[in-house]
Amino acid sequence: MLSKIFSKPVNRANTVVCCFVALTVIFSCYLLYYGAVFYGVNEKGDSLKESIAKKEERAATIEGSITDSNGDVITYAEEPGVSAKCMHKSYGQLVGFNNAVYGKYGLRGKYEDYLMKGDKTHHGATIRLTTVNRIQNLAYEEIKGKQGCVVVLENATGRILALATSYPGVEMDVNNLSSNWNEMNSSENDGFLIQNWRKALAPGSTMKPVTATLIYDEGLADTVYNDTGTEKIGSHAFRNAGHAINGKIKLDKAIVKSCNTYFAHMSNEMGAFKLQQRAEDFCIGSDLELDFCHLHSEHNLMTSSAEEAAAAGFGQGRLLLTPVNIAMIGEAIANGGELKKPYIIDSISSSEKTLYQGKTEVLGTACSKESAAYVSNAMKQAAISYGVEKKLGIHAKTGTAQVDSAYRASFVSFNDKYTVCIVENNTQKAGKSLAGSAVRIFRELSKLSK
Amino acid sequence: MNKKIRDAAWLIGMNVVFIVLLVLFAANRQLADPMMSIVIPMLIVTSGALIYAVCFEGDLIIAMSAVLLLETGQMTQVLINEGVSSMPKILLFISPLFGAVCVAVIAWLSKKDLSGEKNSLKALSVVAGSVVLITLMLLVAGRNINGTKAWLVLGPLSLQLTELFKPLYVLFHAVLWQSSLNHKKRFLFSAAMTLGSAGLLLMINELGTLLVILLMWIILTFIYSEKLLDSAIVLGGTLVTVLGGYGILGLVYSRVKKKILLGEKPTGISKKLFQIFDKLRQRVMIFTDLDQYMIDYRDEASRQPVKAREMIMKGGLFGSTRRTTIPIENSDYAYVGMILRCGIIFAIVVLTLFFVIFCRSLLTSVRMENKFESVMLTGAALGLILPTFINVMGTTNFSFMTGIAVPFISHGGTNMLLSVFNVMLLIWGMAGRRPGLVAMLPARTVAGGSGHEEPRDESQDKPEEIPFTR
Repeated sequence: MLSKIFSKPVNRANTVVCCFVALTVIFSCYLLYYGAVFYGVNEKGDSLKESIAKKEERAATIEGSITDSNGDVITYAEEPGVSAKCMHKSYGQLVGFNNAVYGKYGLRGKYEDYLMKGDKTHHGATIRLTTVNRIQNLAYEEIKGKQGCVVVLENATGRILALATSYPGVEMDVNNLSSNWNEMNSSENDGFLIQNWRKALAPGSTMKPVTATLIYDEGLADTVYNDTGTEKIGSHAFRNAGHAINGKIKLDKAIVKSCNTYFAHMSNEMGAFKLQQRAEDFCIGSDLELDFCHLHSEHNLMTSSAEEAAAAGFGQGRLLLTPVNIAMIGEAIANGGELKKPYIIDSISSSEKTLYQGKTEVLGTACSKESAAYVSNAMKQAAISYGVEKKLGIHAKTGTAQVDSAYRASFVSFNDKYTVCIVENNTQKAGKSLAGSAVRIFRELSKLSK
Repeated sequence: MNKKIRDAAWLIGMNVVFIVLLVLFAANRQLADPMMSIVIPMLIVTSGALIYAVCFEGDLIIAMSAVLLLETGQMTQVLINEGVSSMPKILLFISPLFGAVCVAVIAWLSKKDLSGEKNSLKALSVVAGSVVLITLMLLVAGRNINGTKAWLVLGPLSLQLTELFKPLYVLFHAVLWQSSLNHKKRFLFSAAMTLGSAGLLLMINELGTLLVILLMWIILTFIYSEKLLDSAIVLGGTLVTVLGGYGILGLVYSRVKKKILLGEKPTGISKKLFQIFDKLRQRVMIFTDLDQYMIDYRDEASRQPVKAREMIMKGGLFGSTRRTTIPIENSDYAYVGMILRCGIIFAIVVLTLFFVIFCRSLLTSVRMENKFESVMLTGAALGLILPTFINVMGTTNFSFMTGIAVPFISHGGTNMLLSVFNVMLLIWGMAGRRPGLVAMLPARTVAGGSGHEEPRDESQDKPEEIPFTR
């Protein structure tokens, strides 16, 4: 029957016409759908339409500035539709970018709704950070060329005075992203995690102050331990760095000497549950949402073996901390046990009003005042042993954690006003090598008070 | 005479209304100098169309649709270029003249007896040879734009010679179908011409025209072949060739890519095949996975599909003054540019005008006894509608994107010349036999419907009835 119908060219032509009719009708319906003409029919299209409208509004807005706590410019735009220029390379990874081709990143991505929403004068809001440009730049110079970061906190408030990060051979130039986009985004750099302040690795001996506060609060500070250089727990024998033998020691000397065997022994004595609880008091092992990033650390001893729990006591084992977590340890001890939440956004304001005000937030009490004072005093002795001048009043603890075939060197230090934490990943050097950088930063910080 | 006055009145009235609307629209969009940009050229074109359609008593609907499309195209270009028409005004004069000359040639050919095997083979060779000659000219002296060597630059003129493939292809088949060759030979020649053209177009990376040629082959074979099986073979064979070809090119591509990663530079035919597949791969990726395409290709051109969508959304139903810049907006993306400025409803109306021209032409041409004219008219109709649909569907991501222009709407001199030629061919083909200016033209008979139409005696006064054109 088909061949009979199609035997005439006229019928075939009619078929072709019908096909084009159908195609025209289907295409017309598709066009209405694709263009999201009717709201609610095409959800993806509707949200795309909204983002287009948003983009247009933003194209007519001069991107808001980002300044430090003194009002000194960090990023600045002069014309609408033109990306703001970052005036300091040290802020590259922190302020990030908002780019049509490369997407959104950093503070400029997170706070796009403030920076790109125009007021009456078509200016976006101004974000004032808690940082100080000269401290930030110095911190960046100290870590530049290494794989690591520097965190500087104000103890009394939790304000972040500097947050610098670096990766060898890759310098993020947010004013010219195309220049080394591929290097920045390479899998060798862990993708885009050059924001080393949220890179969680084993903290090493910088975890010992946390364990030390627990030892003190358990009333074991005066317990004498005979360090023979080896501590056998389960099937594993723990040793000190450099195979050191410290003889009979108590807690304070164990902190100064960074005695692994002591802390392994005491952690085993106290048990995984208490260690877990104390870590949680310091906000370790839980996610923490800060105003510039999401922090994730791991400390789960409840399913660990006795050896793993003992290792966690001195900063190895199943324990992952970010540099910001390590800095918070120092800050809590400096504050007498009170743990304050770090924040970097001081305020956000338009030409008309303040839209957001950053404020100090107390997360809780990490440890007792007495234990904090005790550990603080021991860390002061430790700083002197690292070669730090006594008159500087710096308390410090180093950390050198084994991570794969290299070390993670860390140096957490504080005085009565500030905490400085420096971390260098993938190095062959020990934490003590970072002492000089910390001292230079403290000297600069002392000028702030004058 | 009454009919002439009536037709003239229709055309003038319609054009006056449309031009007034255009001027108001342009004024609302705050264009610079709409009078010079739109009105005067339109008046000139309309006058020409008027004379042609009325004197030749061509199909009024087709004439009106074509003039409306021409005016819409001019308006679109003016809007895209922010108040200035980018096309040289002289083209509006040259196009009808060019079209008239080409139609005269076609009319002369239709009078010639090409049905004999010897004559038809000669004619087929000439047409095929022309296609090869054009390809050689482009390969040797063609200008490479976006990886396609489709342009020949002669001083101030830039001719897109690949546009000539379509009418030559249709001409080949018109000669073929009216020849006395047997069915098998006819099929083989048709296949050879198609595959040969496809191969030549692949060599110069002109994928849009290649797609048009393939679709023309399928549709012409379906309509005109004696056996339905031929259509099945053509359709199946095309699909198998396209998919198989894509697969083979893919294998070559991955091999060459490996060599590039090892530091070797591809040369010769492998380089050519690599480039062809890369282009095809991009088009497939745009259609199937636009997000991944945006990640893999970060240059400005890669953002065209996204911007095109943005333009459609901004345009909405009735158009907008909001703007999005997009590369080659005045040519490949002219339809989307029109949606942005005039709205989706307007764009659908424009598409419908093309469809009206196609429908009327096809349903008339297929009833003609003279196979040569029938195929020429069908080919002319396809030459208008196929590029239109391929372009509008590609730029709106309904199908694969190709770099083909929309007749009348897109910027392009060669495109304009051939679009006007196609329309004039259709008007001529649909016209009845009339005294005066048309006396020199051969009689055209329209079969089917109310019956076979005999050429009437010139001395008769009463008007001629021409079925299928009203």
